[in-house]
Amino acid sequence: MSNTQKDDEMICALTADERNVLERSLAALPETPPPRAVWDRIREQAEAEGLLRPPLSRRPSTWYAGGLAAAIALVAILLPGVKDTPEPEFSTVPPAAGALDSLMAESRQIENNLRALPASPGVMRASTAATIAELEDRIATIDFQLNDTEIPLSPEDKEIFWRERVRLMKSLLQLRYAQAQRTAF
Amino acid sequence: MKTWKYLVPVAAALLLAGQAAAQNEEEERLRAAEAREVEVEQRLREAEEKMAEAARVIAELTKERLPRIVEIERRFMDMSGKPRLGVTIDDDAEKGPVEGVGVLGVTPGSAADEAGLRAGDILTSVNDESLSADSDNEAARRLLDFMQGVEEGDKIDVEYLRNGNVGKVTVEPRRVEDEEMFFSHRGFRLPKVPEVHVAPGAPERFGNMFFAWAGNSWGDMELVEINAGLGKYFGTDEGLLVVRAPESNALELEEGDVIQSIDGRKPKSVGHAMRILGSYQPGESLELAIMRDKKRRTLDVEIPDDRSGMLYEFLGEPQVAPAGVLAAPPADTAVLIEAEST
Repeated sequence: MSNTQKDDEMICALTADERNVLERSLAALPETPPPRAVWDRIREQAEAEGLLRPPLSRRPSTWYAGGLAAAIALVAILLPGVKDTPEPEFSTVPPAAGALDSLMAESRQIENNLRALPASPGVMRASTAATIAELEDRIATIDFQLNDTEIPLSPEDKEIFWRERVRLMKSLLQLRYAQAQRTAF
Repeated sequence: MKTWKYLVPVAAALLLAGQAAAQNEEEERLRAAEAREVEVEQRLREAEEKMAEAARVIAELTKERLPRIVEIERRFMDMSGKPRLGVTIDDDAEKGPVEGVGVLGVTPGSAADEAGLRAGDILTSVNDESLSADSDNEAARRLLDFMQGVEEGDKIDVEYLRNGNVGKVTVEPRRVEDEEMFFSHRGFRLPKVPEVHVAPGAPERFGNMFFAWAGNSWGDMELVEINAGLGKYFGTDEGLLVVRAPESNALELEEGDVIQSIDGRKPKSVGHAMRILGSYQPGESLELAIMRDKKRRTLDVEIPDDRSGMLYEFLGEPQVAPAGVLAAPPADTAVLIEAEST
């Protein structure tokens, strides 16, 4: 099997929900070009997970200068189903109520994005470190409850817990991104 | 010959003048570039601060949205002595047979996160004990039973499937110190407010409110974990180096100090130090063991009542601001009072 076939297979392996989440996540990224180190990590992560084909020749300056718009366009071209659409439109509608699978897929995508950011910087501002710790504690509490068999959750409550998990993960991603922008400067 | 006698010095003088002008121009350009860098750095610092503030408000909102959260937090703290892996697992009784436990989410900052486990992985064995079962539910039960016997410091070999490939990691589950959990110690407590400013247009009724902590006197401090390389300059290779001292002198810290312990607890990271410091209430005292000028010193510090924050009211379904939007607070809340001790 060629690498290209393998890549295509991995991309096709995305469910419709996962693809929606990916498209939404990309559309929701800030318009300012991210620091080069951050973008390189995101690109490498996307390539490693089969969401992006590695370019034939590496031209880092082009990646940086092209910024996020080019990246979104590239991913849109590579995504099956979006490939032939001249002007792809990214959905910005949040997951419908009851869409537990969508929330889980969204959470998974945010985890991927978090991993793609550079490791926490050496020098940390105290208030940022405190907020990150607070967000992590709250996510840990939610995860504890989602696994706790002593206090079982109704399907409706489970959805609330997943929705709040996604909300906190988004905050964490945004804060870590802001932190990376400052330290990469 | 006579002409040359005058031309050479004139040419040399012109050349030197030209060089000096070019040098001045270059210095001017460098100064302007430096000033721009300082300005951008300052703006990014402010943006990070605003983002942190917005995130704290969202964290408070989340607490209000979760059903039975007080009961859950209490139970979480009761169980804090048990080491945790840091994953959310699938427990669908209808799904099976399964090769192992499906990971639905990995808790950021947890042992599983640091070991490299990911949502979507299927944990097939722990310490060579298979997790395959007739249902998701049974596989989850096996993992939870296994975790009951794990003690702090134990290392677990976890085998997993990711996109059909087998992987193996060693995870050291960690327990959480209950007194260091952020939600366990702050609670709803307004700082002493000498004067309150009601925001323009704020509604008159003060119902369904919550207070979001915004900062305290050491929030602007910047720290870095010290390593062996830095250690030789500071006389220790353990602790947190104060790179930027807080503007307030509440903690009596200076740039170049290395925080070694806070009331006997050694901070393992900047986040850990903030968890420890945050567990003290205003008016309480603590001992900061530091290295200053390569000498051990102890600072007796009283936590000041200088926390600031804002009082918000719920207006509807909380919404997360889009990425990149730094405006705080979230759009669905109204700022009622800016509470700040001065």
